[in-house]
Amino acid sequence: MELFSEIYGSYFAVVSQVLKEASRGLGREEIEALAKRGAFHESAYHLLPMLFSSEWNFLEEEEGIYTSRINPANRPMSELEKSWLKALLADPRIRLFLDDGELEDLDGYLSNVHPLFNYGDFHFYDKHLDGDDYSSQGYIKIFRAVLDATINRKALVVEYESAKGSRSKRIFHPHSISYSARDDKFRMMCAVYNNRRQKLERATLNLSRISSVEASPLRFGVDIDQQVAKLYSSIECDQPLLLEVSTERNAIERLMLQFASFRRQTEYDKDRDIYICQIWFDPMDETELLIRVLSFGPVVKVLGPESFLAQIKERITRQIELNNMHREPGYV
Amino acid sequence: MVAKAACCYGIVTEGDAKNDDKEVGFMGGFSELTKRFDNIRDYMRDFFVYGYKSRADFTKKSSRTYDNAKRRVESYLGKYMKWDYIGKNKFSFVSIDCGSIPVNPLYAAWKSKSFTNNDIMLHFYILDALKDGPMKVTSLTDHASEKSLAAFDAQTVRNKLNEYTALGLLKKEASGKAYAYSLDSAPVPHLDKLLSGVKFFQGAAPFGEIGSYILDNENETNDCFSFKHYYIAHTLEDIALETFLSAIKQNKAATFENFSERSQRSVIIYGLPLKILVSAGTGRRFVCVYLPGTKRFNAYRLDYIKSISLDEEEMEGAKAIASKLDRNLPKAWGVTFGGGNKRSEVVKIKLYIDEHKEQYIIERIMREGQGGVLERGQDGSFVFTKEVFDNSDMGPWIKSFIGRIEGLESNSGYAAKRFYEDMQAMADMYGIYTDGREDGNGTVL
Repeated sequence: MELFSEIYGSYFAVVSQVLKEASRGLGREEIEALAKRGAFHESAYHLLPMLFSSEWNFLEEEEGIYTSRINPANRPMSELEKSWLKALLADPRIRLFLDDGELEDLDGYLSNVHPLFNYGDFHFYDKHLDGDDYSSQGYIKIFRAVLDATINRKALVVEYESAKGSRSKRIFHPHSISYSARDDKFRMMCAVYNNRRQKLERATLNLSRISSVEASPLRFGVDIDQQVAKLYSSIECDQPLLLEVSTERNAIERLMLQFASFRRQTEYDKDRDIYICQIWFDPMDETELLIRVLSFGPVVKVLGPESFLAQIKERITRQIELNNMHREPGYV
Repeated sequence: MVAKAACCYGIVTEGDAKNDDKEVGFMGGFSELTKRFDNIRDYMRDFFVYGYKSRADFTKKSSRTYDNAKRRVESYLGKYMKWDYIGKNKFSFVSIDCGSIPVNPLYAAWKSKSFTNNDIMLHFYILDALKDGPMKVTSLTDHASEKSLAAFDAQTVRNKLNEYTALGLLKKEASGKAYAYSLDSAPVPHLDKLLSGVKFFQGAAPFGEIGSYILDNENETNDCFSFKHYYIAHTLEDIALETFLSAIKQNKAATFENFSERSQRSVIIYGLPLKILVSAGTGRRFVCVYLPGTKRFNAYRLDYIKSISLDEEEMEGAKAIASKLDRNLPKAWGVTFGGGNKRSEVVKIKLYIDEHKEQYIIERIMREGQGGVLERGQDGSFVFTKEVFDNSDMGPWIKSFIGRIEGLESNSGYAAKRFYEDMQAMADMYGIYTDGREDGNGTVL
C-alpha cells in the first residue's frame, strides 16, 4: 500500500472541491480562494493555469463564471485508509466516539481488511502510568458531553475535583479538547468567568477529574465565543526562555527534539562553539519546562527570563545544600 | 474527438514521464510537487527540527537542489517558515507552536506527489463515469475521450483502472469476455461519528497523515482537538515505520542504512526488527532490532534510517527472540538493553518529600517511575528503587528532581558519580558556591 500517492494530494483535493462547488458556477476569485485554502502557497501559479485552461477540460467558462463539465463521485475510501481505520478498532480510545454496536458495524464493513499496524508492535516506554480510563462508562459519557459542547460551542456546568482535592461547580465555556500522548490524558481547554477579577480567564480541566457535566441553563451570546477564541489566540509568554546549549553529549539534538513541539529559534555561535536557543511557551507550562531543562544537567544553561533563572538557581542551591548535609554522597 | 496539441503555461515534461503525458506543475524548471518523498523529507526535517543550518551546511546535494527544496518547503508551510541572518549567513527554519495547530502542517509533504495530465484527467473522468454504475474499459475510454476532448487509448485507461483496483478504489468483476469496473459504493457505517474520531486520531495515532487524507476527501477538518507533547516530525519517518512494521509482522530480518546526524556516518545494519520504541516525552522513535552477529538487542532512531530491504524468508526462531525482548523490556528505562558483559543493576534514589504538602511529587514518581517501587524510609524520606540495564538512561529523569535528592546509589556507582559531577558542574555554571550561596555575579568558581 502506497502512503505517498497523488490521489491523496492537495491538488486532487482542490480540483475535487472546485468541481463540486462549480456545479452551481464559480467566479475566478472563488476558485482561487479554494486553491489557497486547500493547497500550497505557490499552487495558484502551478495548479490554476491548468484548471482554467482547456488542457484538462474540467470547467467551461461563460462571462467569467466557471461551471463543472463533469460531476465525479467522491473518491471511495482506499485500502490504505481502510487498513488505518481497521487498526484503530483495537485502540481503546475509539470507544469515546463509537458505541459497541457501531463498532461492530464498522468491524463488519472492514472485515476483509488487514490492520495497517498493531498497537502491540509499539512500546511507549516513558508514557505516564496514570492515563485516563477509556473503558469507564462514566468517563465516556463525560467525554461525549464535552465533545458535543466543544463542537457546538455550548457552555457547560461542570462539577470538578482539583488535584488538591477541592470541589467546585461552575460554568465553563469550551474552546477545544487537548490530548497529551505523554500523559495519556484528555483536557478540556476552556474559559471561566473570574468573579473577583471580573473577567473571563483561561482554564484547563482534566476530563478524569470531572464528576458531572450538564448543559448550562444560561444562554450566552456569540461574543463569548469570540472572547474565548481571543484568550487562546496568543497564549505564549512575552519573554521566551533563553538557553545556551553546549556541543557536548549530543545536547543540541536532544534539546531540539524534546522541545520540537514549542515555537523556537536557534542560532549557532561559531566563535564560542555553543548554540543559543529561544523557546516560546505557555506560562501555564513553566514548571514542566523547568523540570525538562534541569534534566539536561550542565549541558544546557538558562540565561533568562530572570524569574525562570531564579527558580533554576534555587533548586540547584537546595541540592548543593542537600549534598553537603549528607556526609557520603551516593549513600541511600 | 480532437487530440490535444502542445501544452501551455510553460509546462515541460520530466525525464521519465510516459509517452507524451506531461508531468503537471513545472514552471521555469521548478515544480511545486515532487516525485519522491525523500526529496522533501530530509529538508523539511532539518528546517523544522534543527533550524539553525545555513545553506552552506547542506552539502550533500547541489545548491540548486537545496534552493528547489527550500522553495517547496516554503510553499507547503507558508507562515511557519521563517528566516534570519547570523552575520552574512541566512538560515531558514520552521517555527510552530504544536499545541495550537489542529492539523500537522508537515502532512503537506505527503500531499505533494507529482502526477501527469493523464493521472488527474483519468482520475476525475473515471469517477464521473462510474457514478452511474459499472462500465467496461472500452466505454470508459470513450467517456474519458469524449468529455476531455483528448485521445485516450484503451491500454492507458486499463492501466489506470487496474492501478485503482489495486488501491481499493474500484472493484473489478468479469462481465462476459471482459471486465466491468465499479466504484466501491458500500457506505461507511456511522461516518459522522467516525469522522469525529478521525479528527482526533489524525493527531494521535501512528500514520496520522492517513487520517488527514480521509478528512480531506470528506472536506472536513479538525475543529475540536489540540495536542500537547505533539512531535509532528514523526510523520516524516512513516515510510521506514511502515516497512519495519511489515518486517515485524512477517518475522523477517531487514538490511538498512543507518545515517547518524551526530557522526555524519552511514552504517549498514542487518537484524530482526521486533518492536517500535517510542518516547512520548522526548520526541524520539526507534526500531528495536535483534542483531544475530552479537546476539544483542539494539535500538536505531527511525529518523536516521535511509533505506531498508527485507529478507525473502522469515527468520528462524523469530518468535522466541521476540518473547525474550518482551521479558527484557521492563528493565530498559530507555532504549538500552543488557547482553554481553552488561547486566542489569539496581538504582536507588533517596528523595526529600513533604508527604503532607507535596503529594503531587509522590504521584509524579508513581506515574513516571516505569514500575519502580517507592517506599517511605525510616527517617521520613522516600526511596525509589528500580532495576535497569543502563543507569545512564535514568540520568535525565533523576536530574529532574534536583533540589530534593538526598542520596543516590547503584551497583556500579556510576549513577551517583555522574550525578554529583553534574551537580558540581551546574553549580559552577550558575556561580553557586559549594556551600549553597551564590557568588552574585555568575562567575565560575
